Amino acid sequence: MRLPNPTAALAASVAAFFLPPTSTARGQQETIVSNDVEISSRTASLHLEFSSGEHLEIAFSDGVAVANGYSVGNYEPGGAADRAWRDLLAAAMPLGNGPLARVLERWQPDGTLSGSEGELLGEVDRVLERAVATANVAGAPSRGPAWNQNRLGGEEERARTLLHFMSRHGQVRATLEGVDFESLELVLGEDRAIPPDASVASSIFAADGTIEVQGRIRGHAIVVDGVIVLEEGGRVDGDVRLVDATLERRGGSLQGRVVDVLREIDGERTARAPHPRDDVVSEATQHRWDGRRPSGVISRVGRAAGGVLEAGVSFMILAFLTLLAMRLAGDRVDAVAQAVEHNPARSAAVGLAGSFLALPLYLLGAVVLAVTIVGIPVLLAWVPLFPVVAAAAAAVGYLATSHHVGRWVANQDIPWLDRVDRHNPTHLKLVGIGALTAPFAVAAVVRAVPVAGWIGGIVQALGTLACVAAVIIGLGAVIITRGGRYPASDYDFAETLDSERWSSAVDEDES
Amino acid sequence: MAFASAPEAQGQAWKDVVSSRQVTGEEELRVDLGYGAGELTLRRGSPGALYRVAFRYDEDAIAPVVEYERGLLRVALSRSADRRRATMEFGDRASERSLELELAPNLPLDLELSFGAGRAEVDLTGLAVRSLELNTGASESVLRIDEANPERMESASFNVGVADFRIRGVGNLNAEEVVVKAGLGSVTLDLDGEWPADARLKLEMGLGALRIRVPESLGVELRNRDTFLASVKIDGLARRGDGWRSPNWESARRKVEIDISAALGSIELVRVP
Repeated sequence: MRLPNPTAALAASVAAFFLPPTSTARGQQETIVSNDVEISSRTASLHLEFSSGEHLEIAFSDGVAVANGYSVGNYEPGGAADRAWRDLLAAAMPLGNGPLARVLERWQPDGTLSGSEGELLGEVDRVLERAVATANVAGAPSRGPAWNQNRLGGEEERARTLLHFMSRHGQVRATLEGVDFESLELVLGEDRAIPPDASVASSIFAADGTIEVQGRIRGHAIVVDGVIVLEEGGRVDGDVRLVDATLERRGGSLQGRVVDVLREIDGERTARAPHPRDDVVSEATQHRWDGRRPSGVISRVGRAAGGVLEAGVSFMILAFLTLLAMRLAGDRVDAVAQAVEHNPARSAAVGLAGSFLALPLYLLGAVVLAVTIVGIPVLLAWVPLFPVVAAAAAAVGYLATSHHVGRWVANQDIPWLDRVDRHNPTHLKLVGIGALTAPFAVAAVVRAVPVAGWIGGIVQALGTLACVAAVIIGLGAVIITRGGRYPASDYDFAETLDSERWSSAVDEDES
Repeated sequence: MAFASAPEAQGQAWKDVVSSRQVTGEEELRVDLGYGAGELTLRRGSPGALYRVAFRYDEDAIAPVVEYERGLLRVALSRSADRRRATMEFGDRASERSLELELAPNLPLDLELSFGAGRAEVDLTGLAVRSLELNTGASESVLRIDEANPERMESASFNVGVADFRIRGVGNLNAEEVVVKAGLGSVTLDLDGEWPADARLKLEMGLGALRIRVPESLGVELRNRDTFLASVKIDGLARRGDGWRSPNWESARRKVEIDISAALGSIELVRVP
């Protein structure tokens, strides 16, 4: 690691106050418990967790380098400092604990770098050194306590240079805003008492110590990792700015504000940071919205009425299609219905297979027609007509199945169904369609009842299953009878006739 | 893995994230891995390291999750906060995403691994796996274990969707029971390995193809149930009742019972030297 020059060493010493005292707190038996490295086009960061629970995070992001939340300098994205930092992280990525510490310890920024980027890398170097130097990581070079090293020098001139440097960057600026560096009094690692008859001509910066103010501070009092005691009769003309420090007021007067810098910075950071896991929050919000749909009686009744109306409209449309189908091709629909009656299992099997094969058949047909020159004109009809024919077959199948559903319902002892003509196939189909759509209306009503919503869900699911079954069975019957042109022949003639028609004919003969 | 600033293409920002942790008194580790699409590698890590996770992903579309607490490691990818953009980009260049997971050797592991589309190479060699559940969707996956697992597993479970899945060294899993449930796709089981003890294999196939490669030294008894519509081809085993048995069944040092249930598809068992 490059030896720090005196100014930089002093910079590190003061920067150390702004960073958690990792090395001094960790003691002698420490390890790097975990390390996280992130590299993207915008960010390159390193996060270390030590066995003492201390953390170190250095991030280069969007032109600003930050160590444990404090800006340590600016850099040009893609520039020399950025590349040097990324190279270090690339070397650190596959490593852990001892080897990682060695790499961080031995890292030497490019010595030819000058200016602010050179200073930045030097600062990062010292922060890293301080963090890992006394960690007892396997094989890491043993060095003296970083804190003592950081107490090199101490000349005020160098400190002012340091503070000028730090004040240009990020949040530190808030701590040192308005401070006259030329006249600033520095108190590092010791206590300072200002007697009643004494005064400090400007601001005072104290770290790791106690300031007892009985006299007067004509500027700001900046205390880092220490205590300032404002005694009776004491006076501070400016702010008291605290960084991990406390103010004890025993009287005295304060003309400016008491500023907890860390808290302010945390507040700003929280305000700037994107909300964690917005996707989760969004989903949770969505679910909450779903759960908080209007729950008043009126809205429940409204939803129930809407569901019933929806089922009613569906019934009306299907009824209209039924009448149309019976008018245009009643015989064929009835032939399909007969097939459903006499071969329900076969119809279901064929319908199921047809459902699965419809799409492959459609695609295969299109491909075959496309690859044969002769078939291309047919392809033009095949593409739009096949879905239409398939949908028509499914609809006719549904009607055919509903015929038997209707007959079953009509044979039940339901008082208001005695008006239904059990010998009229159209009536039976309409009753059947009504029975198949009724669960949806019932479900809409039940779902509006508090606590019983799940029952409505079950009813709706059963209704859907019944409709799907009706379509599949009916579709199979449509296929078996080739659209009703070839009634199934493997049953008795008397059964091939619609039993209602047969009964009707017998009744007419008898009359 | 490229660590330098990756060039962005089509507006995607690729990010490399490495997270690792040392063993600090842990006596076991549970791993819950959920990985949607991309390339997955799992293998033994360095001594002293509890885990090491290396992600490469498009940060505009997804966000990684690496959480560790009290012996439980959760690794997952979730869609990023920008859901609209994430939805558009989640499937783009998925094959360029990668996840490398290295786990502590010689520490009892309970693994629950779930990954969807992509390629996966799970190498359990040198790991002490106490329990294993692997779920994979539409992936091309290989699980291998070249040395006997020092931990005896009660059960190793594999649920395979529409995948090309292969296990090499089933005998090194050191599991009392190995359960493979597969839907579509192709499953190959290499029953090589040390077989520290006798074991059972329960194989449930849907519509896919199952190929079992059995070393000649291993005693094998195979029972097929509900394979009425499946194509079954057994090589080198003698028919016995409703199943098959290898000629060396009585004399074999280790015996493996295989129960197969298949709806459709094909089952093929071959003996290999």
